[in-house]
Amino acid sequence: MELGDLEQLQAGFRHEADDLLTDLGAALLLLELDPRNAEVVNRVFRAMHTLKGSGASAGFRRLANFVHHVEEVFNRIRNKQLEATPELIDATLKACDCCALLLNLGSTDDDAPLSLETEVLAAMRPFLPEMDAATSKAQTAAAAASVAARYKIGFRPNREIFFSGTDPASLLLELTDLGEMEIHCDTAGLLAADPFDPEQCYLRWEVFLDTKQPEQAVRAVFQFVEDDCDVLIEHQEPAASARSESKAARFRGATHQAFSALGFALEQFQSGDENLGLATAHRAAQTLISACKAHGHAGATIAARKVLEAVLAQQVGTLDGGWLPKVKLLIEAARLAVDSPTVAENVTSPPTGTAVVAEISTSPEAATAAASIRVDSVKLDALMRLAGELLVARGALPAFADRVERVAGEESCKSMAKEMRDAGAKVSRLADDLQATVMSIRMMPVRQVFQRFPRLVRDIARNLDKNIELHVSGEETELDKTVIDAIGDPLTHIIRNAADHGIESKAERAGKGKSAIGRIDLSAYTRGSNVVIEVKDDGKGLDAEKLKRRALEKGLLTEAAVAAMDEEAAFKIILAAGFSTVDKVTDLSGRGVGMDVVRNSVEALHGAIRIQSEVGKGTRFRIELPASMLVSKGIRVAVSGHEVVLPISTIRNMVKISKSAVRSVQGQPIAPFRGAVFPMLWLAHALSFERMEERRAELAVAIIEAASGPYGLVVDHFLGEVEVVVKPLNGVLAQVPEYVGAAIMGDGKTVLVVNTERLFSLQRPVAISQNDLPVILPR
Amino acid sequence: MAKKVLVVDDSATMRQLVKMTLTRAGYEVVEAEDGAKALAKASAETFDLILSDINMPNMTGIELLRGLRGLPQYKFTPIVLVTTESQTEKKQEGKTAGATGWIVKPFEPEQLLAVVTKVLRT
Repeated sequence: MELGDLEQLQAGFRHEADDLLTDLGAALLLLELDPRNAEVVNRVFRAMHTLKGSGASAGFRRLANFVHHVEEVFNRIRNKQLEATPELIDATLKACDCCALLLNLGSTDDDAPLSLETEVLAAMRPFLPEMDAATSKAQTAAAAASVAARYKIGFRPNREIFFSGTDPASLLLELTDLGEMEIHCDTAGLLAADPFDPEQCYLRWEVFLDTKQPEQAVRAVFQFVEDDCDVLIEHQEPAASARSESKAARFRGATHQAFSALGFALEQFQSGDENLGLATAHRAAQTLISACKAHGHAGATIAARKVLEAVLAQQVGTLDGGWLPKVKLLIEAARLAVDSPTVAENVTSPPTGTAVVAEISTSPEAATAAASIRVDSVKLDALMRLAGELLVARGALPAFADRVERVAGEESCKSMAKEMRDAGAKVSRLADDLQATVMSIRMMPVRQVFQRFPRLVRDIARNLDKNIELHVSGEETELDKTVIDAIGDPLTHIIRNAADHGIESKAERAGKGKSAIGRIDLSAYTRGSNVVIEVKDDGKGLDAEKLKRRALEKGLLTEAAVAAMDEEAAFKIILAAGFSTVDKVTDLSGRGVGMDVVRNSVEALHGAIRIQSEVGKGTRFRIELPASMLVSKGIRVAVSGHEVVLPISTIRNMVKISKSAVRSVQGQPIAPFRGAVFPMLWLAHALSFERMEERRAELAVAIIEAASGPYGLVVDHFLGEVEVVVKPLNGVLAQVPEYVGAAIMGDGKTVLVVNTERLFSLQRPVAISQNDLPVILPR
Repeated sequence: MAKKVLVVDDSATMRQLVKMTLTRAGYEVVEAEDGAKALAKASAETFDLILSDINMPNMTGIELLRGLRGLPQYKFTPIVLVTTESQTEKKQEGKTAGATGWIVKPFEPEQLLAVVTKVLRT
């Protein structure tokens, strides 16, 4: 196979293995709930089986070897020789983690086993009859000599042989590849056949073959038919019998060589050639291990492995001075082990299981493997950008048609302009379709992210001895790949926080008269062009006062800031960097890192977080995200002679409000609209533009739906709707929170896009002067 | 004319590996991801060889094998099962159902070619 092929194959396998591991994880959790479900056992087995088979074929031999052991355990469960205890499932889940690690290691056959690998295999060992059997079998079979010999082969095919798709003639032809031969055909059966059936085989053959190939090669020709045909292979001349050496003698020979090599290696090491000595010792120790394994000598294998470990430790420099005497001792121990008789390893009985602590409910998964191809997301991004730019560029055609019409008065020019406009409309429609299609390619169900959480909750519950149910809904809700990729971490933090700090301990829940099983709801749904993801727990809830006190103690906020905070703002303190409410730091959370990641990630996605909570009842995190990020619609507005774009996703209404309707309450201008009252913000002030004289009696207002609450944004004029490709700002500009990015317009002009989501919360209160014109208070 | 091989495996990696090897050796390769799909494809066009995995969703390799042997055009066609060491009992089951041979995973491309040439010899 060519190198490029292998790389391609391995890249493909990595994707496949990711999917398999995810499925494996989900299946294992289901199995924990229903340990006797044969279908789930089968699903686990099949995933492992594919992981092993395809892995080995794609060159991930180490991964394949590792999975082989775990698969063997599940084979025994499948054959009802073992039960899927929680311990076993625990170990298998760890095995999945280990597989992911091995997958990243790639195909390297690095000898040092990962600590997780050792741990998992140690946990699996009691469930396996004999670990090294498969390896030793393969190795003994490998030895073969090439001495010329004559074989007499009797081949009497089964009469039905044609029905297995086998042609006996092809087997005979294959024999000719091995050497010179003489064939005799026995046609007696054919002549005696009555009635004669043309679909049956009546012939028999006798072959004398002179070959230098080992007997194995001769047998291999008949490997597919030896069970149901009569194949007799006789070695005719017992030529030079150098191979009569017994198995034990071979073992002695091989180990003797290995020990001499080790002795030589130590001499090299002592004479100052340390690296060379270690390399020789490494090879010798490996030879020793394989010899012991092949001989089925478990004790010696372990002793030999200890030698290898010591050599490795010295090679990576983890051992200090006294290495030489230590390794000499180990080599002596190995020599003793090799000389002692083989002892079968004790098989301990599997430990009995405890009750399942975590309960997880997942919606029944339909095993629908849609026909799909995998595409590098970079290519997809490029396609998306191009589609976006096409969408924007199409605006030029009608504009050009308008110009042609204006400039030329002639009829022919007018009809040309009309044609151009028609063509433009067509391009426009196609561009729309293209954009929608490309967008839909990028959309992925949130299941991709959600499916990791049952395992997370289960592990936390088991670790903390809590009862937690995770209810997942809306997994099919689709989000842009960029969002999917980025939302995993923040959600993990929120869910971990809910399971760790939200849900109370069993005793606490019992004391409060709450149901013994804590519940976390994870849901996703669409709202307009946005997607909302909610994490709700029925735990202890957040205490706004306590949060404020804590923030003061930690010096994160000033007294004044705390005093001005409403309840929701107080809840958001938990998203601040360096904040933690618990006194006891656990493994999982409580170090005050993590929740600020939530805020940063969500903001980077142009999303918004709301937190609702009630002491004793629970907490609800609500994250609202744009479903797609690359092309968006916006409203062009004029403000103080400038043009900016407001993202349409945050605009609820565009209205005219009479200037006289604006009132000031505690320095905050407000205006009524359709029965509700909104705080008002002048865009010109928010963006620090100089305000133009306001002559008209009516204000153009966009009612903005921000996560922190709705507000009215006053602009000079609305100029119209546009489709824009928003590019994030770079460098110094990226620090300006008032803008989310820059948009490229149809005519190539660049316009800034306003961060309407955060604009209001960035402002200081605005007072209203006597003539109802706002004045910015100094910051 | 190039011999046509139907490769049946639920693992895309395996199909890719087999396809790469066989295409390079001059065979024409068609893929199917499970037994049911394979049976449909095999009924629609004729193949010189079918290489099938055993453990697959929807329809296993053994079921596929029985289905194919039931079709007149596949009565004598070589059908090779792809197995793993842990499935020795499957070999016998496959053999009884009419398999021509088997290849044990993991295999090197050369081993695969050896088996394919072996059963497609004449």
